[in-house]
Amino acid sequence: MSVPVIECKNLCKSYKKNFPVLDSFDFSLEGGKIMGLLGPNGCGKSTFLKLISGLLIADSGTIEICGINRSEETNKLISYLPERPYFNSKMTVEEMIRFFKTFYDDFDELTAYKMLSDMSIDSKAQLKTLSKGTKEKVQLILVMSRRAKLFLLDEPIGGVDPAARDYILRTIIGNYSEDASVIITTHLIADIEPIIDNFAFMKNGKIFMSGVADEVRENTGKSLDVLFREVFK
Amino acid sequence: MMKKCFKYDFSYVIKTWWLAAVSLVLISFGAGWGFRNITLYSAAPNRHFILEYGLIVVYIIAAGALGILTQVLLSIRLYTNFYSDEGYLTFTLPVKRSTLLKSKVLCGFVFELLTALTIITSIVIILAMVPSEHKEYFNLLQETICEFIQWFILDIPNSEKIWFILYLFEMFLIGILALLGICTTLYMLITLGATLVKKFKIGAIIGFIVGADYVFSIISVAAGISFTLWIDAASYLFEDKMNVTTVFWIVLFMFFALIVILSTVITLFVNITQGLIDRKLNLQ
Repeated sequence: MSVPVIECKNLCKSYKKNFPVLDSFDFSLEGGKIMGLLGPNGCGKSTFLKLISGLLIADSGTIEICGINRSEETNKLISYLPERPYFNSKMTVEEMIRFFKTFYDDFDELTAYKMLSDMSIDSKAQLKTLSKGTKEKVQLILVMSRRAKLFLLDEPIGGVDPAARDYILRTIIGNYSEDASVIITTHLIADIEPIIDNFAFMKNGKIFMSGVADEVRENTGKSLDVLFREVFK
Repeated sequence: MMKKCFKYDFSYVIKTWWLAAVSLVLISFGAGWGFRNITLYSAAPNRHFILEYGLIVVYIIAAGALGILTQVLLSIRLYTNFYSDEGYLTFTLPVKRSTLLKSKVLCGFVFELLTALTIITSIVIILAMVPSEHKEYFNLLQETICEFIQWFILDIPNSEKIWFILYLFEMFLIGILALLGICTTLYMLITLGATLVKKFKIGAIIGFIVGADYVFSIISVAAGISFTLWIDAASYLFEDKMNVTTVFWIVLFMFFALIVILSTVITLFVNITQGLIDRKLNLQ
């Protein structure tokens, strides 16, 4: 039996006393799956991704990445895309590529340059001169150019035009390896529905509905987008 | 990983710092040249003093600006790399948080040291360039060094000269720890403001720094008074035993105590900073 890429047990996190964001949260994902983590604002999606990536420390519970307890070592296995730009804006795209190559052994420089070329992004451009959408594309290129085991994408298609969204989704599908897994959080369910294998609806710090996207569509006759609107109306 | 982190921290600060350092050295050459050629500007001797005073003020402002710029650049580097959106990248790297902080502390120490060395170099340039009739400060420095060397050779017993070398080593250590103390205190205050305060973080950080500066001033005055009273008390209590060697041992012990206190405070500040980063980091 293969080890799940990520397994969380009894995860609890709160920012204020008596107001838990995650409450006895259990989660597991096998390799080779793309999961859509869906829910309204404030339900704990971003907090969950931050806990996995190490930006936050859980109040209690365990997180294992490929069977290893979460630590700085597991960051080698995780590629995280936050919902906001995280660059030093004075650096050029080329310098950011060199930065990623310095710290991540699994970073594929050739893939990164190829994707930049596909999107006609000048590698010598300073990041602060790029538009918001282009910055997000550059960020996604850097994240997806790694050969990580787990990709965490927090709102990867929010704030970009529809054409760019299509490219981003194609990039996600085309650039992760088959034994790796991807967790995507988004509000734009209709856009990501075609690419996700599994889904989970989050509410009040817990997963209250999850399953295989195709099965749910078959059984209910409804798309995930419609189901989401019914559940969270 | 420490080397990689340090490389990026160093290159961020040096990009701007080197300009200010070179400017200060050029200003020191300019001031030295000005002292040498002051009669070119005015034949009236009473105006020379005003011109000399002006050159000294310009130099002091430039040296102070380099010192302040160093603190500002180190602060900006720590804040943007740890507590702004860039923190999303920093804290998801496969690097221990303690390593990230140690890299910043090392970078801070290196630039404090470089700043001190640049200021000393610029002072030496000015003193070397002043004309002989204005060399009273240079001559005073020379005389002080000669008296010091004479005291060491003639007044200190041969059997205790080795301890005097230890005395010099202590002073060197205190200098190193003082530079380390400046950057660790700065980092702790920035971390306090960035992690404990939810809104107006920059304002909180400035408030903490100003407050700490005030507290430090009070502690310095209290420590200075205590030191003087202690020396006076020791002189009174051990009047018949006070000689050069005894004074030497007293100062040696006090410097050792200062080293222990500085080391403890620096360790405490680093641990507080590390603890806040580990438990209170909350990037929005």
